Amino acid sequence: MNIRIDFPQDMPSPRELALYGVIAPAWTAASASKQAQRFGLRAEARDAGPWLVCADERHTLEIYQASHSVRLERNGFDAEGRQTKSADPISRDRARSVAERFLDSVGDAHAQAELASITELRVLEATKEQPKGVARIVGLQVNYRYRLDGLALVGPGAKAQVTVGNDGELGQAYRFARQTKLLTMHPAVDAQQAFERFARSARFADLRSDAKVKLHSAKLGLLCLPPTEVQGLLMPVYVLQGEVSTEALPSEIFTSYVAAVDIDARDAKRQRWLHTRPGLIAA
Amino acid sequence: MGTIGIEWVKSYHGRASNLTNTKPQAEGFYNTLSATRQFNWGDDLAWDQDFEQQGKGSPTTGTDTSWVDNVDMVFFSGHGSPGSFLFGVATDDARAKPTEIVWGNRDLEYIALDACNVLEESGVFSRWGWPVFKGLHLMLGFHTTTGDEPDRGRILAQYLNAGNTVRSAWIKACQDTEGSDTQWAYLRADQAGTDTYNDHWWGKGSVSSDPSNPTTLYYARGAC
Repeated sequence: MNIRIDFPQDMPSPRELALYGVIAPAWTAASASKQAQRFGLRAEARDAGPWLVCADERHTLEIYQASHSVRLERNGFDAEGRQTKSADPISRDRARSVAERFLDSVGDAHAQAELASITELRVLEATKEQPKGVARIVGLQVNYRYRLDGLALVGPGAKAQVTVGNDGELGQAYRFARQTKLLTMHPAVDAQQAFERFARSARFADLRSDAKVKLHSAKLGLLCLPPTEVQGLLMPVYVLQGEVSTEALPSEIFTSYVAAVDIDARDAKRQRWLHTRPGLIAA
Repeated sequence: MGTIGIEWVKSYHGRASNLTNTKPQAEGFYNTLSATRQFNWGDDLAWDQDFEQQGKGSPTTGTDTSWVDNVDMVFFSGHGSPGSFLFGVATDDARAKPTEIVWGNRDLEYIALDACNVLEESGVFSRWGWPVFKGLHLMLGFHTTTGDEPDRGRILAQYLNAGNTVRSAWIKACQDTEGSDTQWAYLRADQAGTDTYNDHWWGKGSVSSDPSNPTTLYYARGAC
């Protein structure tokens, strides 16, 4: 590596970090149907590989067999607003109220939800007469993230989103979560050591001397894998956000996860901790 | 059964930072989708000209009729920007640019560009829409930056195999694998008699006829 990366010098380094084990979900057709009833959906569960699926004439519920995650959809939701082109977007308050009802129905996530953002589901339609397109907002998306004992749950597998259409009704929603239990405290990797490991990673190995790498932020979190994936531990990680600049790609924004604890692979196997070194961890 | 191909780049030889998970991401798609597998080109064998139309733009070395436009669906994993997606070696100019691309005039129906910002909203129709769609049904990508992650290709294939529409499968796969700061996006084309909104993977539901001369283009984006 021919380049220099400036890391924050004031990043706190805890001496040890909590390890949370994931309680393996035990979905059955019966428990999936029971979950579906929370949304007023009465249907037998069908095994569709990664998901158990319950569907009636109005809604479809997908239950992720590898985690405690669910996805609910209104059948035939008009996701491009094709039937309601002139409808006004609903208010953010209304969208939030629908979202809170969904979170109440879905049940305990064993972590604290916090509102992250309310974003627009946007569609542009272009024709020969209007080749640049006309934009419309076809729904609002209420996005939540989670914390566990004060620490941010990071990565794709701990979040919730409710999309509310312009008719004011829930169109699509998901809640990605895993039930956990506190296992033990484990020695932490010092922040500066983690930064050095990241700097030595394959990502930067071939950059030329005129490349620039800036780190914008660093924080601690517990990594949650996609809801489709089996996970044994919520791995403590440093979340590093920054930017790489080269002549060919002047602004490459990245978010990388660097292990904040070292887990010996043999110990992990003895403890039945699965996938302690997932591909998402960069160093 | 439909046909597929993948291209992925881990090693950028200093042109940009290297990526770690493009190979498992693209091969997850390749090895999971119910399809006939036609090509898997990675790193120094992944070339921009494989995506480009012969005789179009500069350089004019495109060979898409042998590769990308000769299958039903392609998955690319690597770096991108609004104006191009990047390759590690310059057999041509190491960039696949819309000024050199016409898709669907031979076979291609769906393409997933798992790369940052390619489908950024601003100017998307004049960039990737009208010049590129000549039979292509849907282009899947991101409005924002996206993560270097290993699972999205397989998960996309699982949703397609399960009978989701192509657009819905992409949205779900992105939501399953990204934080909500990332925004998925897609472009699709229609003309009289076509219905690409309800397109499925081959053998898993309805597939529209080709919009070979599209009259309407749709762009959608939302939070993952």
